[in-house]
Amino acid sequence: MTFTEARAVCSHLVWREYDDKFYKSAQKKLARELIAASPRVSTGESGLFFFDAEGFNRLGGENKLCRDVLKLVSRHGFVDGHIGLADCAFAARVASRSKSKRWYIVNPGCDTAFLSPLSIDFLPVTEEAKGSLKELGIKTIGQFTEVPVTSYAGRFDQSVLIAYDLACGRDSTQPALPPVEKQFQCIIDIGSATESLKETLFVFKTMLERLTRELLNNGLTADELTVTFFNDNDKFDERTIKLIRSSHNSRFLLDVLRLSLESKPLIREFTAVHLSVSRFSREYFEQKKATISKDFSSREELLLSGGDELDDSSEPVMLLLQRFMTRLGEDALVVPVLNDQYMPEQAGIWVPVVNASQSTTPVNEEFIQRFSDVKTTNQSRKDCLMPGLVLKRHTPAMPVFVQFKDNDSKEDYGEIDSKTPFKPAAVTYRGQWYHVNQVTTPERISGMWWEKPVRKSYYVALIEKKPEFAALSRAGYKAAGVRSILPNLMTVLLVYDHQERGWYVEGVFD
Amino acid sequence: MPRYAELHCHSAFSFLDGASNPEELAYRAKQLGLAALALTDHDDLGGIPRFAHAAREISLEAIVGAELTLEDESHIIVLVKDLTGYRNLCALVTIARSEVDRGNPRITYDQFFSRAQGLIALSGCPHGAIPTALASGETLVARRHLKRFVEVFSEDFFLEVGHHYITQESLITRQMIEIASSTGTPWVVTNNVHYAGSEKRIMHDVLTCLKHKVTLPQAGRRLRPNGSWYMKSADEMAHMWRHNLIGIKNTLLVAERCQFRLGWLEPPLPSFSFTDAVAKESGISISLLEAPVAADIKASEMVLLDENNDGNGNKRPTQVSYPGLLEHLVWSGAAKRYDDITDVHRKQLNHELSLINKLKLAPYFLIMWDIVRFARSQGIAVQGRGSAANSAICYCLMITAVDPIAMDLLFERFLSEGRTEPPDIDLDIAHQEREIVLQYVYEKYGRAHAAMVCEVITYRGRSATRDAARVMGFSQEQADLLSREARHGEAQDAAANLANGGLERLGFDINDRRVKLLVKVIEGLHQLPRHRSIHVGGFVLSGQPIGEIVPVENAAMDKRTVIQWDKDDIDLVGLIKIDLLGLGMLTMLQEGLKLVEKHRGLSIDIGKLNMTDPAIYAMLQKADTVGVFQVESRAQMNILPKLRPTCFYDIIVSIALIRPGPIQGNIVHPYLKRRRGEEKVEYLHPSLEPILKRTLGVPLFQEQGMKLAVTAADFTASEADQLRKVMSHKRSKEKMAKLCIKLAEGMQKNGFTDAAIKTITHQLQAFANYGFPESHAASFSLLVYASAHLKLYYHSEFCCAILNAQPMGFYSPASLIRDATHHGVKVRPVDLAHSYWNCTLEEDTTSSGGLAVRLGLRFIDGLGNRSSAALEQSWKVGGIFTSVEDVVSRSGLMPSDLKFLAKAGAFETLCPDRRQALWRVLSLLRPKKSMPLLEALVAEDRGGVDENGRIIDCLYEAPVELPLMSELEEVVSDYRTMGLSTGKHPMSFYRSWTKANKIHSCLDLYLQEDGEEVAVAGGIICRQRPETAKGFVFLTLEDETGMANVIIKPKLFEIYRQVVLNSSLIKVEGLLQLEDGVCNVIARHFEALPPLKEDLYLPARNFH
Repeated sequence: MTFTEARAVCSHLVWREYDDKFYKSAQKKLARELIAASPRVSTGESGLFFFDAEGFNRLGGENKLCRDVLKLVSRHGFVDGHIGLADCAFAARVASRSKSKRWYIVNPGCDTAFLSPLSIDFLPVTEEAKGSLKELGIKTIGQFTEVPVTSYAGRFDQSVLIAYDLACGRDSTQPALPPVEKQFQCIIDIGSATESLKETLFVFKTMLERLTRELLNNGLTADELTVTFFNDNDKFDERTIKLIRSSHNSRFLLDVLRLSLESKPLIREFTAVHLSVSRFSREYFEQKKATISKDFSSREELLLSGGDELDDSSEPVMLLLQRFMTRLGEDALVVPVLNDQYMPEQAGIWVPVVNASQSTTPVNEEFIQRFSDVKTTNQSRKDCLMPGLVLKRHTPAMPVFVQFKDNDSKEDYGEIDSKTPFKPAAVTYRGQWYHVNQVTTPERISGMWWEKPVRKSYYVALIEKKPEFAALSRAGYKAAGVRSILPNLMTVLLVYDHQERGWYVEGVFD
Repeated sequence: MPRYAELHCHSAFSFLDGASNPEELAYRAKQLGLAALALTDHDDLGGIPRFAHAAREISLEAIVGAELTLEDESHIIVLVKDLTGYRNLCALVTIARSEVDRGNPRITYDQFFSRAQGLIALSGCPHGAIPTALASGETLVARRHLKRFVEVFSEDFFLEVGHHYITQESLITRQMIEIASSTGTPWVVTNNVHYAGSEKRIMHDVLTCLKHKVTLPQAGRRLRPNGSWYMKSADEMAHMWRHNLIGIKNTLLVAERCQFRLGWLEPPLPSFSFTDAVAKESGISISLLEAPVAADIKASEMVLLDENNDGNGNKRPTQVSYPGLLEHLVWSGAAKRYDDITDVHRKQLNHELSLINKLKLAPYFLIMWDIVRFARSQGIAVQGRGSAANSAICYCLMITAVDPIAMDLLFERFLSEGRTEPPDIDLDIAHQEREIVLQYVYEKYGRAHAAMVCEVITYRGRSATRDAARVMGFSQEQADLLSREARHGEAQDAAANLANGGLERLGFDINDRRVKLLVKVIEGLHQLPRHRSIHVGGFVLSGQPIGEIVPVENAAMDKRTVIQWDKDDIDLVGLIKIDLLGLGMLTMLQEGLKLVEKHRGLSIDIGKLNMTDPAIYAMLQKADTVGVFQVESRAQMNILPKLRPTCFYDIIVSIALIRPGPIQGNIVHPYLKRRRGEEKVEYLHPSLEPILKRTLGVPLFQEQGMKLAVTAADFTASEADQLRKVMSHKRSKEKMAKLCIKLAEGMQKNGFTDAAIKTITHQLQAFANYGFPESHAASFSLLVYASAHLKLYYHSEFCCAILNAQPMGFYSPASLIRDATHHGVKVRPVDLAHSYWNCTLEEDTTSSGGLAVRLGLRFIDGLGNRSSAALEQSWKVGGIFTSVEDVVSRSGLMPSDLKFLAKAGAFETLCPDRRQALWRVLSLLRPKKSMPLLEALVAEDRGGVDENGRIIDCLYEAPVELPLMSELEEVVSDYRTMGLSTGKHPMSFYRSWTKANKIHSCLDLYLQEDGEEVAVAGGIICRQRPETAKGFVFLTLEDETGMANVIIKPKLFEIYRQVVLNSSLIKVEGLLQLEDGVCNVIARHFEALPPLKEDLYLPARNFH
């Protein structure tokens, strides 16, 4: 069900991202808990667990086991669990689907008898095969097993032959001991209180060297570090540091930890520290190296050109990016992703670097192709008010007052509205009046009528402080002993919002 | 006061781009006071007739134009100055549409320049070649393009600029004006209109999304940035361009140059020719062809003779003129038709001939005669329908089968002096062989001179809802759900249904913005064209290449070309249209008669049947008419026992009576009462008696309406013809209302009472909603009688032929088979050892004897043309199948088809028991590979050892006992694979249950008392909700004893909607209405029957 589809049925619906990892980790967590009920527990598809119940030898303890397991899982929120107990896993699985009982126990040696009257819908065969079986009048598992398997061999695919074994109670699935998950962590109890950064880093260096060696031995790299600081068993700081790129380089990781401690120093001294690699992945060998085109004589030039030629996977760059991210927060470091909406605020979106690869921004490929073919230039043009400038957006847009010439005609027609003024003469910006020296004809953008409708007229205006106000402000600032930080001449993106019926400055061209 | 002509405007015929119909644009232009409006759809002239018609009505200057796409995908606007220009434009669109892939029209620059005469060109929208070059900074390229256009068009080329508040556009505009002034090229302002008013912008966005197959949030820059592409007034445009008004003024200059109007066209008829062989076959002697010709006859009016007998060679003029040949054919035909040609016959034929000659329509009649002649020569059943049956000439030319003189039919309904367009002759042709006749017409007149008419498919409730939901981002399932709730009807009604509780019923939250907007969007799609399809039979012919009169394109179907105009739009230009319609009943009759001849040695001529056979009328009176042409519907079967037909004219009346026109005009009940003598026959005015005497004082036929207008309101012949046109046109309610005012005034003058005037105008207004001409009813009645004759006397042949002619008629094959078995016909199931593709007749060797119908393989679902061809080939090579192995190896059928055949019981003779047959088919489809060692290991592994411990040979297969099929399972399997069964009726499995619950069978109902509360159960075979029934729904139930009618009141239907629509087998409780042998149950309560062990679904024919 899509969000739109769901919202059509419930207009107050709230959107939450589906996280497969969350389900998987919950499944693992529950499996670990279930060991309390049986030593051998393994997981199947989402929500399915296989237990070993052999130890009871069917002496009557099975009911208690089922009750205990259901209690256990209900504590973790799985309140509608069902259990089936049988000699083979397939029969147990079928038994767990009983609608009337929360647990269903098949007597020992009776798997075949239990399965026999049930529909062949329980068998894991292809839909086509299932249809053919039904057409042949084979509707129950008992009827299915009555026909010799050799007869099926020439008529049906492999799934039917496998299902035949299952229907006869031959299922090789056995629960196993849960695999021990690798953990990369270490803890150092210093014994005395420390707050010196130098000493702390020394401690980390030792820990990281050990952890990275272990990671290397296992062919893994770290994706995320978690550091916990204790003061006499009192946990007072825990920080999770996402890495911009997987690494098992202890120097790099130490740098990252240093950056973290520099940007957010510890609030008190610590006596013990716990460092773990909370997320890791397989080592990726084909790493690119930074290549710089010969056309760029310096790194600065390269960065100024937009940095397209810079391979952002190189170590120094990564460290630079990591530094930004660690200091400013995960979401602070973003990359632009092109979008094809008209509104400037939607025409491109910023995606956090760490999530950039997962972005699913709807982009009209055809549009991008078409527009990327058009030759564009940053060179100054007479008819362009903002040659080669970058718009510094005000978020949210800044409401402003606007003044018109007394004799200026008001224009508007049709779908815009009858009160759209034409070419403002003066505008306030951060409390000061500016003359509008030059202004473009408005670009009118309206739409999004199916969501929150938008109707705006965009002007690019060259504004200049009014002399009288400039003098006044100078006097004011002088009296206050400060200098005005606003320039006298600016190019701004001036917007009239027809929905809100108000004027805004949405940004300044810098 | 500024003046402005809009020279760039797209209507909804720029499919999925324009959001307003041509009429809407014309009215809006008039309202805004525009000096002129040009319609310029994308490579299309489909909206031009409607635009021209609307403009003529409101006196708007309507310029014909189009936006053409050139080879480099650039656009250019062309406007028509004169007739040559129009021809060139049509030819250009025809080339664009015919010479490239469908849906991607293109013309080369050379083609465009070679047809530039008579056209004005504008540089086009931002997609034009010049603006595109300027946008990418290639000024030189732009100037080169300009030079090229100016060289060809000279002063008829204009640079086009627009203003839609877009920065990019304003930059280009500035450059365009600079180029215009530097080169001295004139420039015009346009607004590139895509919708009439700004409120239509959302519809344009929706259509854009549909075009690109995206939802609104995904559309991005595919949508236009704002809503300023609406039609603007001269004031508004002048204000926008107030700094430079030259472009506005130049629009008037262009408009003045475009003088062409669509009414100027006078397409000539194609010249008629024939071969020697045809001449001989038709009894045209050489002496006639070489007779001296009157001096006043021009060479162009002479019949041509093909040099070669195949009709494709050179043609030479004969010495006979069109009128001369027509006269000859008419009189020789009259000699065959009439035993005795009396003065009445002579007078009528001479009158018709003189009128035809006066209107220069002789070639048209010769063309029709030739088509009919060809069809008959090929053994294809053909019959004229409609008003052609009013003409004695058509009767003598064998075009129609009804004698208008004997039946006193009004010739003026067909042709009159005041008539401005050619008459309409519609031919019904046996539907399975219609393509042969169509291709003959194409070949005979040349593909350049013949084309089929298109049908513009507009949005209806369901399609609008489905498309709107998809664009708004709802899922396919939700779209289906919504469209089901929207029901059958117009998009406006669907929107109203959804707004008035439909959305809540489906669980939608009406507070959601998109849900609210959905209703608005559906309403906005009302009557907008969606796409074009080929008309069922409309054909246009012209002496001039059709591609110069109207654009022609290739149809999706091979060897067919189609014009861009709808059937209803071609009258305006006087194109000759013939309708070559496929009629299933003719196929049925043709096949039925062949079967009678084959199996009984009897040759029956349906033209010479005894039309007074009391047995046939008795059958009609009993409404035993399942499968009989036209009188088989529920409504007809209700009326026949009340009408009690005793003569041929009663059949004519019966056909004309059950139509929306008479039903809405409240004519049915007065007529029936008068017929039964329950009401006195009275005339609203004495002058009406001669006109309405035959129909007991009520007007039933269109001819009566015309006569009545002439007599009662002093209508002239041309006014009466106007009335005829209005009565037979589908978009004519408003026009009819206007004519009725005039009619009322005329009647008032002649002393009619107010009540009489009111009644008559009401009845005639109802005719505008579908009324029959008497001649048409008479033509159809002949088929009614013929099919009834076949059903009564040759039921096996009738059953076999009607099954082979499917799809046709009112009932499903299952119901037709059930009816045949009720009449004692043996219908045998599909069997690969006996069946062919079509149904066949077999000798019934049982004690009852006669002929049994063997079902053909055509009824097995999933077997299509490919399977049919494969089977035909295998029968041809190796004859009928002899074993299952034979079928699998030789039939060429797909594995899925073979399995389906086994499930359908088609192997019954070759391998009794369907399951065993399927088991064998499965083993033959997957032959076992010989791998003895592996097999032995597998067998051992699976415990495959016998009691002595020896390994069982896996290749040996012991016979397997599969569960036997019950009778119910067989019936269910039949319905699932074929939608029909020759076994028991599904209701028979409920019989003991119904008896226990005091539920009647359909037959039992006739034994109950009128007004009694009853319960009846049956399978729904038909659901109907006629537009004239004010929301009433009619069900036809069927069980093993017969059929029962159920009437559901609108409010009750809303309550039980889900049960009625989703259940196959149903129990109905209600009030029994028994009247004149007609039985109806007025429903009060519905229940789905409890499920049987097997799920059964009966196919029903719904809402037709």
